Amino acid sequence: MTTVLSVRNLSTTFATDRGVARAVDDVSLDLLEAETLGIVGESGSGKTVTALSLLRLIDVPGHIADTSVIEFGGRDLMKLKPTELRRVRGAEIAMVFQEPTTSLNPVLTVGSQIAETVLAHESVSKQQARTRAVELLELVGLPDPPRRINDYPHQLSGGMQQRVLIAMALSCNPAILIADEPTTALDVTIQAQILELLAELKQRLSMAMILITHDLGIVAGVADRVAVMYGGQIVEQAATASLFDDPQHPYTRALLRSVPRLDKRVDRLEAVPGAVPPATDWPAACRFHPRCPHAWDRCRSEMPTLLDIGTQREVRCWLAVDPDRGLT
Amino acid sequence: MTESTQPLLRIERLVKEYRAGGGLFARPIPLKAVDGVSLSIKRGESVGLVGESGSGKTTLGRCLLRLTEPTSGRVLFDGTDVFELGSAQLRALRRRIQIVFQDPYGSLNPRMTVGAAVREPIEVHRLAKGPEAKKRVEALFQEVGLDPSYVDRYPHELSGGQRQRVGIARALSVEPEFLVLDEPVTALDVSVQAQVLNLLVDLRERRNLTYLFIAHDLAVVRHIADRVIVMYLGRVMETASAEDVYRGSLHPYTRSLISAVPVPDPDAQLERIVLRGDVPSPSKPPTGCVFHPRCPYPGKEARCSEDVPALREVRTAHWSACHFAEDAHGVERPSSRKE
Repeated sequence: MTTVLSVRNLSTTFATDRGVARAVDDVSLDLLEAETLGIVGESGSGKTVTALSLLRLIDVPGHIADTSVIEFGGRDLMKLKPTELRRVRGAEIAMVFQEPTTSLNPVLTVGSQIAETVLAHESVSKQQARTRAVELLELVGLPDPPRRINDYPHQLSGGMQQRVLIAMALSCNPAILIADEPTTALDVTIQAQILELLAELKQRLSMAMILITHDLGIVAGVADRVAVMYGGQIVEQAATASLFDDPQHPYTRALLRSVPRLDKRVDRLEAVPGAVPPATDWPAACRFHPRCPHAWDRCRSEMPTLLDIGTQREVRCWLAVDPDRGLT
Repeated sequence: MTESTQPLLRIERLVKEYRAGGGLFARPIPLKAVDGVSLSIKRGESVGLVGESGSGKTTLGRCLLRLTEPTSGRVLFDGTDVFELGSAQLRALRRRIQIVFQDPYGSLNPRMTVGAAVREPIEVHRLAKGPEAKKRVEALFQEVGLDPSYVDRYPHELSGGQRQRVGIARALSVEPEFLVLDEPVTALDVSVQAQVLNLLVDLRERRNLTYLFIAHDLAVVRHIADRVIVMYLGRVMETASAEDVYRGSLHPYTRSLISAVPVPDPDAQLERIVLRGDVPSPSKPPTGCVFHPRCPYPGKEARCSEDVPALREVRTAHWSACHFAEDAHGVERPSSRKE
């Protein structure tokens, strides 16, 4: 399968009062054609900053390291001029955010907001853009689009607002859709609708998708492949089935065991001690070592690299190179 | 009634109506956030109250502590009507019932050290003062898993999980019998959420507490609750033991809700019942069964949109408010989920 997006050594830092926050540190990943890649992590793991960095949507005091490479469609997005970059954003790589309410302009009708996006990227008449807006709203399953395009965002429910944002994101037939926690603000029955819609659209429009979430249940159901982030780094990457069947990184394991399950009751959850440290203050060497039950000397003195452990799996853990220290 | 049969908390036909909107020329629209809810909780029970937004679960929790006055109905705590108490008795009640909120950041005073925040209720209720109060605070910190040296810190210096531990310590400081936990782990990261859930399980055991655990996350509720109450648009749809609700629900809403929860196991993907449409506005609730416009049950009939189904005991200790709860559809298990 062809790779549609190839990221190498992506690093993003923010200058803060408390020093430099290394929000994203040396992230490399590939997105294959028509694939859904799940990026999963807790807050502060760097997953959202990774997504924003892919489109270079990082403003001062943030900075993407010049050594980062973001290859897309034969170009390195890091080397594009702002005008060229604007043509990629929205048109070729589109994004959907968590909070539908804050992503929409409250004083414009949803129809005009979609039409505006179409007009920004395509040379069509206003009337054509409007027709396209109706088609897009039909595509995302909004009831009665010809009437709904005249609605203002506040007249729509959260789920409908998210449909409108997805319609906007799809307005230029992007090759890649990045969805950052697209259902986190929604009720569970509405979340199920939106996840179903995204899966359906991906298939129909043969897009590749990056889905960012903290919810392991969502990646299990939606993603083909998963990258787990911790401390600004990818700590494990694998096909979804193998990641859940046989997690290799102690953090992935811990995360899976700490979630309460609806399908089985356990007496006690295995909590991970401590909390995610702030990005200005990552622990030295392995960033997970202070919370890791398996940590040994090497974990405290040397940062593990992302090791290729075969069958298209990668893990950033010293246990993987030391067969005597298996996970329990 | 004898000590053993009398519930610690009883709610009778509780209604809370708000007046929404309105303006210079528009008449405000009455909105029933809670619409005739009756339930009881036994001493020592852990009851989960689940529902989506607009279900009325938070309003119900607030009514128990009289943080909100209901429009009608009664709340009896240990046999006493909560809404007939004078201020001194109310204060005594609030020693016995405490609440822990979702956002510990929003519920702690940013200018007060967390030690002072835990100490305050102890002094307000005159349980201890001076060095004795200090000792109690330190013991509480220890009990909730916080280093007692943290007493001098401010909320912003703590992590989300630590702040929630402070919120719990504060609630426990007056030695309550009953805790209303309103989405206590929703704002926390998964790895930290497990710590707080384990703490709540331990505390209940150690202190013989009774919990009303309000949450939208069914998996969390399954973990913590003995019994589950499912609400939708201000009404109770179903109530039963956690096991019965999750394995043999007798209400199509509960079953849809359960099937909508993403399961962290790619091999256990359930056939999902995706409900159409949005939760209707509580200001315009559907007639008959409030769930009927979204109900996926193929056998639904005209009476679903006409008659309000009564919440009734369909099987032992298993109540459902569906016209068809006695029929076959309620008996089948929520399909192919693998154990």
